[in-house]
Amino acid sequence: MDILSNLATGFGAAGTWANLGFALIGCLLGTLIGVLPGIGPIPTIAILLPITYGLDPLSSLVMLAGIYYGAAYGGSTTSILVNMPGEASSIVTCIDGHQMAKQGRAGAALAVSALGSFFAGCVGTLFICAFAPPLAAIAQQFNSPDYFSLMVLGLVTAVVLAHGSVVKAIAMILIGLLLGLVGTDINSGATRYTFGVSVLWDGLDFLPMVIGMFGVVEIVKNLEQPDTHRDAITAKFRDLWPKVSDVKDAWMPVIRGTLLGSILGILPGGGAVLASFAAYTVEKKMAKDPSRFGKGAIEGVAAPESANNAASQTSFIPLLTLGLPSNAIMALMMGAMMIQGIQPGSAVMTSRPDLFWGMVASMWIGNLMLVVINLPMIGIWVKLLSMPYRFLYPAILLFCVIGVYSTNNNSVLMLFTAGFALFGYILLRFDCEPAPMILGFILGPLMEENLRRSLVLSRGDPMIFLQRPISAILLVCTALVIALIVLPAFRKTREEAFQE
Amino acid sequence: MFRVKAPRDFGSAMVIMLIGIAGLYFGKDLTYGTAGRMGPGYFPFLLSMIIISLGAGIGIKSLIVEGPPIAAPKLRPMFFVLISIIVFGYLMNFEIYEVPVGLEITAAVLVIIAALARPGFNLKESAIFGIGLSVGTVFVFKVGLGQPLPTPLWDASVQFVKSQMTGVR
Repeated sequence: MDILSNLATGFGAAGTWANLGFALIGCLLGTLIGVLPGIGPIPTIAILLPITYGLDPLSSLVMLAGIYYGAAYGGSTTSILVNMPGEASSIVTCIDGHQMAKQGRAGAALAVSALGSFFAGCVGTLFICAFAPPLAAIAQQFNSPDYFSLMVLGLVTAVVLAHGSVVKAIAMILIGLLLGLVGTDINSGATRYTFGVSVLWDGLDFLPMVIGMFGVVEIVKNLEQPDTHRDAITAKFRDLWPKVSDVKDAWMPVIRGTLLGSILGILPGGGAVLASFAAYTVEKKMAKDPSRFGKGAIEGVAAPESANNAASQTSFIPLLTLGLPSNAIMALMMGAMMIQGIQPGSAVMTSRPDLFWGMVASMWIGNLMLVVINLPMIGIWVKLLSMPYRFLYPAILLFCVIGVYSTNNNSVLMLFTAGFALFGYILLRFDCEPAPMILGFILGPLMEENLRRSLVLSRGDPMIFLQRPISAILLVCTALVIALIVLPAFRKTREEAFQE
Repeated sequence: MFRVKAPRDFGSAMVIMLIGIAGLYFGKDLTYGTAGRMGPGYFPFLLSMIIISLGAGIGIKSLIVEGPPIAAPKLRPMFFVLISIIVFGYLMNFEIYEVPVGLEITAAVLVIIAALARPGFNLKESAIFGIGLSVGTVFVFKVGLGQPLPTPLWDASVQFVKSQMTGVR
């Protein structure tokens, strides 16, 4: 069996004591930051990114995967216990999860969400094993025009499936693309938008940007909120065992959520957010008594939690096989890989199978660790939840700042961090979602390169994008997606879907 | 006359257009080339033009369709957080008689400045907390992660302890 031997390679690479240790530290740190109210997975990963810099590529990816799952787990814990979602993907969990907690079933909600997520994680890993190799084989047929069209499709779908204004999101992507071009142009050697600052010759640094726009802005955003007493509902370890009736009610939704999430995660532009919303809607439609939803229905926790974990797993597929990040979190992962000198894409699987399969294996290991280690530690996380914000934010800020500074001990980076924080804050005031910008930033140089190569091939004729079959199909898909947004009927359902 | 009906959209349109215009202006000296032989200025020009037109579109819509007002920004949190970041960068590279100020003091200063971002600032509490965090960060980043950060106080104490130990022998 191919899958088995691949997985064996992976577990061999990721299963060393050192890497298991990094996965564990990643999970713990991810949960530690992710559990803090109001801090979602994107800022969590941004804040913790610097500590993975010094490691070798595989270890750093293993640790990052751990951080990601830890952050997601921490986010659900906060949603259930405090009703404060860190990010869109856990909003749905808040609806019924917090109601369950209020009724004294916090333990059951947490356990179902953790076990459901673990099941989803296992299935998601298998999905990657099954779909990544064929997709990578397809990707090897791709040429520059096809890659360019693929990126167009990916960026457009990412916008449509995200929430907020579509036009603003497209503008943010383009701004990201433009910022991605800062630095020395590899083809001509000309420096672009560097203003004579030597730090910029290699391009804008990724870290000050993500830490400024996500980490620091998140802190300021929380500081602006009036001090509310956070009523964390306590949960003890012995309450964590779900009742037999809970398991009976939850297992079907878990399976449905997992399948739905796994499929939605593969789509470019899909991911955890979409999956959890979709799973919740499906459960509500299928329920015999939909009125229970919103009042502590266990299906309303089980399905979306499984779905978002499955999707966060399978959304690695387009990244690892096509080199296409489908959402901002994957863009962060891609940025981290590029810093390690790995260009995500179909080549990774053939040239560094240990890295590829090691990462896949580490995802499963990360999921297992969350259940085995984090669940019993619930008491500690709850304590952290009730810690006053005035002690938390200086610590988080310090951590962010040292993380950026330590990458090259240059104080210019601090000015960039402050600048991006201010920029992110202004965008926030004007209702612009900064996440799409990261996508554009990561893809900017790649997109230009592929556009340039395509047009060199065709001697400047843009029709090349329609003459090549793969590229043409991708562009037709893009046109369909755009048509969907313009059509009023779909627009209405989209708005309704995000309203719920 | 014009009346801005959706201030948030109008504001974002201004920001977006400004970035597009900056993209054009600062990229004006880059060679444009042709589609078949793209110069370094081709893609930036393309992007800037689309950004400006999208911004203009959002701006025009904001004059026609009603939207929510801009929530009044609170200057205090943003101001002190930004100041603390900039001071951190400045102090870390600052030397007194060729001895860097170092992570220990800088970290504590950052915590105190950051604490000003909230009303009800308490210098004593923040100072104690800052010192505690400063010790913690030295352990995490210097000892634990081995980052090459300047830590003169820590180095001096390590040296002192070492000299004492050799002295005993």
